[in-house]
Amino acid sequence: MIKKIIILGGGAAGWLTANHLAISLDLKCNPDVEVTLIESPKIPTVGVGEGTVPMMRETLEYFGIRETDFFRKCDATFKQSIKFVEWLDNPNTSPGQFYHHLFDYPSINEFNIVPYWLMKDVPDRERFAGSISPQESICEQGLAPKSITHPEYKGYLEYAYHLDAFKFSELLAQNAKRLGVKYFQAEIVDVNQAVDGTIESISTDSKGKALADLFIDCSGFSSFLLGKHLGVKFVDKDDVLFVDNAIAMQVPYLDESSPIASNTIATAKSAGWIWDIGLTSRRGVGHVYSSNHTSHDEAEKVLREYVGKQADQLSCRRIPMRVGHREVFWYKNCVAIGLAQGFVEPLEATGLLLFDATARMLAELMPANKMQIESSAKLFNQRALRSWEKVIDFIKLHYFLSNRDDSQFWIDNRAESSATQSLLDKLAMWKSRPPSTYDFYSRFETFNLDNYLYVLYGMNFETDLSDTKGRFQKQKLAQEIFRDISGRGEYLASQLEFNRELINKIHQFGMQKC
Amino acid sequence: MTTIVQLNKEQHQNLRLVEKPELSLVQDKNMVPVLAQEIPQLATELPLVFVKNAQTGEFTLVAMLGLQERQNLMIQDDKWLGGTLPSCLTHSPLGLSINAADKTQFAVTINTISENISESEGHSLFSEDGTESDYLKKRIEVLKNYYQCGESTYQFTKLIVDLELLEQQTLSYELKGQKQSVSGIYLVNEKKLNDLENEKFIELRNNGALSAIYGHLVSLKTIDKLVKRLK
Ligand SMILES: Cc1cc2nc3c(=O)[nH]c(=O)nc-3n(C[C@H](O)[C@H](O)[C@H](O)COP(=O)(O)OP(=O)(O)OC[C@H]3O[C@@H](n4cnc5c(N)ncnc54)[C@H](O)[C@@H]3O)c2cc1C
Repeated sequence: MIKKIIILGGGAAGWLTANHLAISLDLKCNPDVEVTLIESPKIPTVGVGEGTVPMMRETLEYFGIRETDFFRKCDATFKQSIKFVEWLDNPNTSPGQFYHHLFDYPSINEFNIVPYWLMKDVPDRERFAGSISPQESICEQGLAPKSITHPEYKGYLEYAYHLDAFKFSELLAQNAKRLGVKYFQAEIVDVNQAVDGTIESISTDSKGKALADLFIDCSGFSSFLLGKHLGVKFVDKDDVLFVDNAIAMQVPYLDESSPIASNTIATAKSAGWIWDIGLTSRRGVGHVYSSNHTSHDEAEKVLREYVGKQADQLSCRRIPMRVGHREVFWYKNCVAIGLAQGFVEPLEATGLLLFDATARMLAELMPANKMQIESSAKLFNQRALRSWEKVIDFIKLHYFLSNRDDSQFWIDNRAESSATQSLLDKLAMWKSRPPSTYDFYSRFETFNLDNYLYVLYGMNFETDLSDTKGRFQKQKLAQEIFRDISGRGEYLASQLEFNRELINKIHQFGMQKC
Repeated sequence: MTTIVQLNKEQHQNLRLVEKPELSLVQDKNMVPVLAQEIPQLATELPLVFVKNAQTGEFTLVAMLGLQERQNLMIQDDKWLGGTLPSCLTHSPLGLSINAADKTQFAVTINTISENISESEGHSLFSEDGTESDYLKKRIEVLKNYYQCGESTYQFTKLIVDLELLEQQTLSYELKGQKQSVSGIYLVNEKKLNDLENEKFIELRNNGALSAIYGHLVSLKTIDKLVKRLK
């Protein structure tokens, strides 16, 4: 029987896993299983990771966390989109150009309006996202996705959050402890393995040895158990995705009532890109870049220029990153979740998403006894690997479709040799037909049809319908739908408050559960 | 421009008040807020339900006066058609403005365009020496009492919300053989009420909330009375 489980690491990944296990194993009532999280008091968490995707809403609700508490405790704000600025064309010829990857997925199941958008004449065609969803204009106006009378976790439009990484881990920790997870602080200094390689126990610096049946490695980039001690290899992806460093900075608002953007802003630069995430009390801003294409000093300068005069008083922090993932994620009786599993640049906020999804998968596939470990591990590894590959394809898409050629970074990124075959195959098909649900393996894929549509057509990918025009004769209906969408945008704009206004109300009055 | 100002003897020394409900103010309102203390009297006349305050999202106890927006079936020719008048309609043009930081501090306000204000008829607000008249003192006591009951109504509502007894529901009725319904309202779910742990249930009974909840549930039947007024 699997009786004792140890989670090593108290970052977001460790505590997400702890919550998932607590619920799945019903720790509060279950006398047979014990889950303990051990965290070093000296090794800090990475402290970044402030953007999420809508799945986070489901997760928080599933954990039994009140959305009101989450807003109050994590400096959280609403995120409805990622706005990609200057990803498409050289900034000197078209400064400020942008597109949105929205969270509102229009229902194109009954009637697909995408081909009708594609058939519009390119010069006077409106932006894709703005044509198929009211959310683009809501974001551009800085409005919230819901009103104060909506119940928790519900809104007019889909949304996720921006959050403070430290405070979020703290909230998850409190909740996991409430759900019955044990916790102590100590640094793991050694690992004691049986002859067959399974971990029998780990040695701490101050609390002796700890035994368990299953060990979950959430130690961050160090991958202390799976990588360092079990020797599972790292698969580099730096031939596909080039960024390998980040410089992060926290920028306070000039005053308490400064507007808060309703979306992440991701601005492309000549050797990487800058994230800009608005929380309630400050913005989190960071430059993610390829050190093969620029120097650290130059990268810092680019970040300071982006922030402007305010940056003069602010310090920043550099975080080296290794892009790629472990060869397997579950080996013997050790499972890695979080940065210990792998990392890709935070362009689509995939970190927390993947770690949340794999933590849940682990919780649900948790074997009953040690004999079952191997089969669970096999399934887990297949699924998780697929997720990583899909995420890498999707991130690469953002670079590969660009027309930018103003630096070597962009030229290298657009080279066919740098793209994965699976991505090239898809793009080849989509040259003559728009993507379909059937292009995606299952609904459990991390990025699906809608995500691809927003990025492909946001970046003016050309799908030539000249041979298939005959299939799309419902012009009138399509026009009506386009009009309805823009009408709905106007209606919503009349109902919704600014992001900051609503968040202030949430702090003051809270949101209702029903 | 707001017409509600702080009452002061410099400006309002000579004002007199006629004492009657100012129904024109709610002529096109289909609900008014009520106090938990009013439930026993009102429950036999009007449906008492919970709605969300559009500004704060918080639940408020209201009496339904109509079946759709802007419809008030309880007022005709400036007359109240029911027996008991909800107390919130009895104060105009006076009101209290409470200091949010220190709730014992308050100011009396007056709506300067009220039709109840007169210079010749009614009760004086100030004596000739500029002090508050006995009449005004009495009115302020009533307002203070109203405010205190409002606080306990808020606590009552909060209790129901915290116990998760409320649920968005529709209230249906028949009109000319057709089924119709009122939506956007929240009612106590009887099953959830009955499923409460003993301890919570006893707590509700002991602090008087339970009888108020039953009053609310009983009042829902009075929707038929409203429907009759339609005809
Ligand atoms: C630049 C950057 C930007 C990012 N942006 C986003 C984003 O926008 N959205 C998103 O979803 N994700 C983002 N991520 C990813 C996100 O930061 C991580 O998903 C998240 O923080 C989880 O980290 P972790 O818990 O795996 O590791 P960490 O936070 O590093 O935690 C590691 C834990 O392990 C403990 N530990 C390590 N070694 C030992 C030991 N020997 N003994 C005891 N304890 C030990 C540490 O004390 C710590 O508690 C970003 C990452 C980076 C680098």
